[in-house]
Amino acid sequence: MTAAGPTDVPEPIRAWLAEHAPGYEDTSGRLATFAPADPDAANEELERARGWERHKSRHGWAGIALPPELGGRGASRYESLVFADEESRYRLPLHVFSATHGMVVPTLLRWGTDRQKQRFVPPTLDGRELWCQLFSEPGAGSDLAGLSTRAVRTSAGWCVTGQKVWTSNAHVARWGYLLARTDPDVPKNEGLSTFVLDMRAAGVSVRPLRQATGGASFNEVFLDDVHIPHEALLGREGNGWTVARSTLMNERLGITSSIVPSDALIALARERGRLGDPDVRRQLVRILAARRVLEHLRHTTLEAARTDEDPGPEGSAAKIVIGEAAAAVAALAQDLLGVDALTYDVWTEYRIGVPGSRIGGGTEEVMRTILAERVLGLPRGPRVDKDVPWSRLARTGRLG
Amino acid sequence: MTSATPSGTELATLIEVTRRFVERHHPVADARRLLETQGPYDAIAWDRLHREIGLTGVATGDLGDLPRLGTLTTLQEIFGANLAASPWFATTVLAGTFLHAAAGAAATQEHLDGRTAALLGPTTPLLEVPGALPLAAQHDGAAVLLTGGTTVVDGASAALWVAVARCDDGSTVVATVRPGAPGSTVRSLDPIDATRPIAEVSMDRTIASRWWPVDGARLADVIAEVSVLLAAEMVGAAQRCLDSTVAYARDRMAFGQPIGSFQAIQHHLADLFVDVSRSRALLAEAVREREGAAFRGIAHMACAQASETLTTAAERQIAIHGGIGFTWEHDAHLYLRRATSSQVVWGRPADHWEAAARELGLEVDEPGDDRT
Repeated sequence: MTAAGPTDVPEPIRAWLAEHAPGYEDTSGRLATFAPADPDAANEELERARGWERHKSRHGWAGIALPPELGGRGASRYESLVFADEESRYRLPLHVFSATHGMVVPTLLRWGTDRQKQRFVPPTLDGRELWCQLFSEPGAGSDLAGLSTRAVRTSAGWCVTGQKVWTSNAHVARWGYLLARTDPDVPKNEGLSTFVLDMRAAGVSVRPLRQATGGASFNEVFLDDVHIPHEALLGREGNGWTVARSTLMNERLGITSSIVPSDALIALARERGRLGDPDVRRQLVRILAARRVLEHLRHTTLEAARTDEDPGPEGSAAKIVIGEAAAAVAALAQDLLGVDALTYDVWTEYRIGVPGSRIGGGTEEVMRTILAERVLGLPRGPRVDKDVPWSRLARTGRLG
Repeated sequence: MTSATPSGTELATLIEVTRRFVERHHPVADARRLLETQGPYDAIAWDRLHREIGLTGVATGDLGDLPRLGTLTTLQEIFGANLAASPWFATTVLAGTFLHAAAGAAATQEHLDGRTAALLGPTTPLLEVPGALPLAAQHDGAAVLLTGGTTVVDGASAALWVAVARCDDGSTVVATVRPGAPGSTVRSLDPIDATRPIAEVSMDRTIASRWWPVDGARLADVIAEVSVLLAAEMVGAAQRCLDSTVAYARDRMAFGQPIGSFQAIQHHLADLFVDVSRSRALLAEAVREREGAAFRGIAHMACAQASETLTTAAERQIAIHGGIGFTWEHDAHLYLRRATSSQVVWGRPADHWEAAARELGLEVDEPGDDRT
């Protein structure tokens, strides 16, 4: 049973995707959202992703909400979200370009100069240029603002040294969206700046990070005295945290219910003859309920976009709902498989991937704190680093 | 406003009128009064509700341009937040919904004109389970005779009984019975939730005043509709628990800071917010679906989820208030009592999850099924 979409999808979108999307779908039957362990399969997925972007572009479906002068269709944000919703019903490798389209381009549009927009936005629309997001560091995950990658002023721009981690697609990205520290002697939030990083610049080295599921979706990126020119600054120097926060708000728009593989799970239960087991049925219907909740939250987000309001807190709640649903799917699948759960297959691969999906994009603990403080209005917890210069803060392995 | 149905009234006005009515006539203190005195419902409140405001007419009759389910669920949330103790629940939400489905709007208005009613109906949404309908109906010429017994909300105080019974041939009827009719007995019970007064009602070949056949499909629709209405009431109550507890956590100080600034408290309340969001989302989806198997499926999901959420909300409210939340004088236990009675009156969450599974096509009878 597939749940009906709550939003009316315009017929041209539905029909075009029905005809063209299947040619770019994943046929491996994999359920996990992390890259496959086999490097050939990972490369195939990347090329298929580029191909899909090219194909959309040729048929006028790229950059739906972008202005025509930047290569887009000039339609509304609402229409682009509706397209993305319908697109997510197919097994397309959308995660490859999702950060580029969903996080980087909106940031460029909001904070970039006209030159930067002209140079960087159009090539993202046909799969030519892929971006990676250089935010997290070994010493700065949930506490992103505490990061230590340092951009020192030079006569020609900046010189950057540091290390980034969990960087998806860094090995194939043309550009990096970099958050770095330009002033270590002010409180942490005030000393950050954002830049466009040329991933081919001298001093940039990328090393794949192997995740628990065996593949390498992510990378470490080492920056050793990398030169960044003046014109690569995005927004004002020292305004990086404001820019980064606006980027992260876009994350809330990315969540769709199709990420929960309930259809496959029901098929597994049926195949194993367990659909009559009351326990199995209860777990299944609760997972279906979670999907319906996500669809409703998505519908609310879309409605807000239609009237051009800012996305509400639905995204933070949605991430928690998805995480719990993913864990429920993994637990039931393991139960249904019985001794077959000892074998490596799509379900056990999914199962190992679940904890990772609950960390990436903001941990559930961070989501809970956001809901508590910003939605429920509870008093903020004590923060010992609020007014202290970053250089004086304690960090892992270094007392303050 | 007269006693006529306020057809054409703007939804916003109706909601505002209801909100003010509930604030004035059904503060939580009234729920407490019932618990402490075992006293009757506030007669003036019921009279105003029916006669002056016409809300029962709204619920059982034609709503004009107003969307029926969407309107009623909004009103139910308002009642639920204050644990309103009123004949409204048994008369309108329970009995009225069944009567409306069986007899139509006009007959329902006529039967319920100012009278309170009680439902002798299903104890679970799973109608094929033995004992799901505790009354049996026997045709005797043109009459219907009812036999059986069940626990009934407002069974002792209602002016009209509305019974749902199973005939020998498996068909079902909805029947009205005069309380005290020959062959019937009533015995009041001591309720855990005083806002839901209960009585054990039994009948032995009691003649129904009127009766209507209702087919299984229609019955399933009605049960789903009542489930949505109860879900809305539970969401209102859960939201109130959340709001009260957030307010408390902001004010209460410990270790030199408000307890709401501690991460454990923040995270408990965030989780409760997510649970209430789940319940609201499913409720809204049910109202949007309106009919068919998809509606019935989501209606039961909404009821199951709201039921679990209210229980959690009531428990968390007590936990975060600490010792004071466990005193008789604090209102927290009133919400816990309502959470309990709601689950029992209209079916356990497990039954509603199963009803949802069936409506959504998770077939039970599969060849080679392992029914452990």
